[in-house]
Amino acid sequence: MSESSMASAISLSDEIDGLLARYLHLLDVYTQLKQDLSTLQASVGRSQRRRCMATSRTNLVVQVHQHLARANFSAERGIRYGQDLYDERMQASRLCSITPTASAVDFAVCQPPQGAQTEANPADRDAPLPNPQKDPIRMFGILTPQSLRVAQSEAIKAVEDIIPKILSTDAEMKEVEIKIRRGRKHKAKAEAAEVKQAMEEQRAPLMT
Amino acid sequence: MAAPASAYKDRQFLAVIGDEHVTSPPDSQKNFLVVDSKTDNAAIEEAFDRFTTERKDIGILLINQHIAERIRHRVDTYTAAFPALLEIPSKDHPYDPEKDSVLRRVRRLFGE
Repeated sequence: MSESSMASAISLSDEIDGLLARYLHLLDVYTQLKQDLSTLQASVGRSQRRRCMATSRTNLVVQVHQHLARANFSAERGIRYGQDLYDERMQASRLCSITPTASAVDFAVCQPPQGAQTEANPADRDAPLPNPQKDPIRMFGILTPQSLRVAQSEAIKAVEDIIPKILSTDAEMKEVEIKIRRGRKHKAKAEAAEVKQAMEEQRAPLMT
Repeated sequence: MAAPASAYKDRQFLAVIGDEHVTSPPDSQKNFLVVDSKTDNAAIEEAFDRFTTERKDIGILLINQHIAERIRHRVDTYTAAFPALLEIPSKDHPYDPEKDSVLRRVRRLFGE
C-alpha cells in the first residue's frame, strides 16, 4: 500500500469517526428531548406528579390530559372541552419559522407578530376583526377552569420549546447521516482501489 | 443545507393529525384532522397527502404515533425535508421507541 493512499484512508476513517461522534451526540440530544417531551407535564403539581410517577412516566401528554380530564369533570353538565366548542373563525395562534444554519435548518415556533394573523380567512376580511391576539382558550367560554388553562400552558410549552428543538436535531441528524454514508462510500472505494493496485503490483513481476 | 430557500420560506403553519386532544385550531383551510375510531385509513392518508404535498404553507406536521402506525407505509416512505414530520405520543398510547422513525433510521445506519 502506498503512503499517500494509506494517509487518505486514515484521514477518511478519522473523518467518519468524527461524524459518528457528532451523530451520537445528536442522538443523545434527541432521546433527551423526547424524554423531556414525555415527562414535561410531570412538573405541574405534586399530587399530579406522584400520580404520574405511579402510573406512567413516558407519556407526552399525561399531564395535559389529566388537566383536561379534570376540566371536563368539573365542567357544567353537558359541556365537554373538545372539538364541539371549536370556533370556526379561529386563526393560527402559533406560527413556525424555518431558518437555514451552517449544519442544517433551525425550526422555531412562536406567536405571530401583531396584525399578522388576519390573513387566514378571506371571507372574514370585511367583518370587524376581533383582537388579533385573542386567547384561543376564550372559545371555551370566559370563565374557563384553572385546569384547562394549565393544560393549555403545558401544551404551549411543548409546541414552542421542545418540538422545534427535536425537529432541528432531527434535521441535523439527517445531514450527518448523509455525510457518514458518503464517507463510508469513499472509504470503500479507496480500499477497493488499493486492493486492485496491490494485485496488479503482485502480478507485474510474473508478467515480466 | 442543500434545500433552496423557496422550499421553506412560505411554510409557516403547523398541521396536526391526531386524536381530539392534540388537534390545533384551523386556518382558512383546515390544518388538522381529528381522528377517532370511525375515521378510516383512506381519510388519514388523504389528509397526510394534503398536508405534505398539496399545501405549501405547512412547515411542521405533527401526527400521533398510533395514527402514524395506521399509515406506516406512507410515513416511512416520506423523505421530504419540508414539512418536517414528527410523531408524538397520545393519551392512550405512550411513546414507543421501537416505533420511532428516527431511532429506526439510526439502527439502519449502524447496520442493524
